[in-house]
Amino acid sequence: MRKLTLFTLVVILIATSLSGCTKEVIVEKTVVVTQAVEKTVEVKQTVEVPKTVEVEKTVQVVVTPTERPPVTLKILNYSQEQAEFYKEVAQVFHNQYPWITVVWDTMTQSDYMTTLPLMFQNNESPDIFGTGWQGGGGTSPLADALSFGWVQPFDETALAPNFRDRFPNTYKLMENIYSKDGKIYTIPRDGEGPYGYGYMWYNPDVFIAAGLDPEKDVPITWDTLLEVCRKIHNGGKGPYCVSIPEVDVTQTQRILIPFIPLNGGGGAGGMWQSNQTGLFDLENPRTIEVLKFVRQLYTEDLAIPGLIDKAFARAAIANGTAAIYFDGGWMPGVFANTFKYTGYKIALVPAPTKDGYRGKLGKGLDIPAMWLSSQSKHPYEASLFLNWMTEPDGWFATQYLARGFGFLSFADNNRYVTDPNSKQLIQLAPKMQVVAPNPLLKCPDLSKSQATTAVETFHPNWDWEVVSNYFLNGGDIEAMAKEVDAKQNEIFLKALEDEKAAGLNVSADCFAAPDWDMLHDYDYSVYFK
Amino acid sequence: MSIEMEKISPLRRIMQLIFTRRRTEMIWCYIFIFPFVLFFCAFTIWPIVGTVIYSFTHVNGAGLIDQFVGFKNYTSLFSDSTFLRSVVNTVFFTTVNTLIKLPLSLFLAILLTRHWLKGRTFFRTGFFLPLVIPGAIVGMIFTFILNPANGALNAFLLQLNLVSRPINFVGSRWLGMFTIILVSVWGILGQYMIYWMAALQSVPEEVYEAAEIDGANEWQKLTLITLPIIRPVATIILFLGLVNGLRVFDLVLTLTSGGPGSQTYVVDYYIYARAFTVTPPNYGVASAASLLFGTAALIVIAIQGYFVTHSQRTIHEYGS
Repeated sequence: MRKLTLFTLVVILIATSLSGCTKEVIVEKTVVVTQAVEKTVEVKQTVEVPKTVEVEKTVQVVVTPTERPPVTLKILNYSQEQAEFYKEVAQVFHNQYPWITVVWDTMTQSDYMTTLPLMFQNNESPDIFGTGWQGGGGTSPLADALSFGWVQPFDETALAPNFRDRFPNTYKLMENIYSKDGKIYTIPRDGEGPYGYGYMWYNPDVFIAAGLDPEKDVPITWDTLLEVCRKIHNGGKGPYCVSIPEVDVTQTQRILIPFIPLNGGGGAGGMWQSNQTGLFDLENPRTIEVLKFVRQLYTEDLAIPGLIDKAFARAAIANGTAAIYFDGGWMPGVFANTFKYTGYKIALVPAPTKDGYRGKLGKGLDIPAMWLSSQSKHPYEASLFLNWMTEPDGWFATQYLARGFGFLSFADNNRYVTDPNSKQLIQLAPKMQVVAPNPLLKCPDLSKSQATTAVETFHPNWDWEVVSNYFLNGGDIEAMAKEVDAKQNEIFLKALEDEKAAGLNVSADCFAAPDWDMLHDYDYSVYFK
Repeated sequence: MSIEMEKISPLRRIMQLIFTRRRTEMIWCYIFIFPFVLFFCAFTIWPIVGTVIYSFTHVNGAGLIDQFVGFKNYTSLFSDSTFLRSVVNTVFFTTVNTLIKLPLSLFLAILLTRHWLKGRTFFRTGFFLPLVIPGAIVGMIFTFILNPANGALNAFLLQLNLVSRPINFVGSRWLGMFTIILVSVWGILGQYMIYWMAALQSVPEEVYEAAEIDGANEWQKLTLITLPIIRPVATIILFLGLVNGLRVFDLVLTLTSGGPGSQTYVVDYYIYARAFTVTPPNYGVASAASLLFGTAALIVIAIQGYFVTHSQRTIHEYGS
């Protein structure tokens, strides 16, 4: 015998407007009455209140019976600056679904990369985990996750009927990227737009101390960046100009991911692959230019020396040890919550010359981010949590955005983001981002390909190692890049040949988009002809 | 007496014949050893067996064996420049680390056993204290001290005008390796000092007294009496130093993370990186590296065993 579950959500919004002597009170009332079925119901009700304007709002709510055994859901990801927020998330969710207790853990990104595979091997994986593995092929995180045996599909009985519509930049959680055989395996969390890399974060006080105007003297080209840096560092008498974390690949990428594409390097296949041929192309002249520029920051002592991590690099901006730092749209939350620093300013990454960017940062579909573990014994509750979390106007979305943690792929960011710095990112992002081609849509068989995995397995993070060592110690970067490309392409092409012989329709050309100029949005309609 | 024998039951007589006193003692020995054997099999033998199996296979992301690949993992190691570099770095670390820490700790041990030295207890405690700090914590502390941006050491050197710009102690391969060596020596010096002090105590005082009567100075006592007598023990200490050097990992992890790039990789760090920091984890290659390196270490230990046996014979000869 199941008991009826009655959920009532009443939101009253009273807005007063002065219009002569009459006051108009707007009441938005949402009443949801559920029935005793395990189905999603739509309810709308109009309540008349004198001298009010009623606004109807329909809310879809998933109804579940209350007589279920207690369940503890474990969630794991690596956004440590959001740890306190996650505790609140767990409590709010528990209040609404009392039989489910959420335990949300976070750890450092590098620990996370090490710990997650071990958890799966020990059969102790969390029920829900955030994405974040590096070097696993990269083309299709879903294909990787399925080949690892890490994921299971969401329980769609726990999802709202319009669940797929919540993610506008995913083509309804399209097949092979978020879904497989019609079942949803993953969803994005962060909005690809303002959230990504491409921003320059700087400490205005350091600028002022160097006699620079933090608004007018913001560097907009590489040359002006060098000039500003030399003035700030002042021959060693002043602080360092740029802080570049370099301890591992997840850190070095923070400066390279924006600089290389904005200089026209990389392409549809990523930063290290040629847009013309799809082959590995570290020796691309545009890429080499960027590497030499960054190296110059070290040789002129303008960048903090040594192997520093991102925590140190960020702290250097907060405490004035350095002036400038390059990182992504999550920094408002990081600076505010981890370093209690809100005095920073934001600008776009400088262009190579005053002619502007030679390419733009490719943004594609929103990155798959939240997964349901194959070892989870509570797929229904886990799916219920993800459904609750991704309600576009729900508690998670509104609070996450209001607190400046970043941007969400399933919410109206413009509406709910209140932090002025985050709002600034929304304005800046379109100036350096374009929609990039998607190799997986060009060649769907790439979801089964392990060619890029083969390259990565041979020598994990080789490109990054070479680059990181070059930044600190110099050397013949062209020769090093040539050696890396030669070996990687040998492995890459052999793997693709073998897969083609086995019947897969794959080639290096899948990763190329010679018809894309890297400055304008790629027309995705070509994939759906 | 025959009447007493008639009173003992056959069963009891059989039990008495089987469980003699010696056998009973043996059974109790095995019972007490059994828990250790169990743990040894579970945490030493089984992982070794597992490593051997993994070294001939490819493992998928879930940690399950995917396919048998034969010797491919082993051959890939010899074409992997990072592995070869890590071997060279490990040998470099072991050799230089041993060459520094052994003589230095011997010198300190000799000094701290001189009767004329005041405050010996204080100095002994001071030199021994770093050993109490875990290696990883030592690495983290030195990360701050050696930081070229705002570390104490660079600030000190700049203040005294000994350098014109900060030194990046871990920014290049050889300087980074040397830094790791020096930090390791700082941390382990006390341990080897204790070893040497124990060795020095085996030198009879009468020999020194006789030497003094004959007019020997300190240097002659050291080179003609002390060192020859402690040579057998020195052999053991030397090989202990070498074997411990081969196991370097925690300082590399905390000081350099193998960087810049992979320039300061050592074999243990290579194994760790391949097994635990890439996705999917490359257990096959990591296991092959473990076995290769473990075999090399075993050879060193076997050589040590030979020299230890030889030294023990020498100690015995000195004793007689």
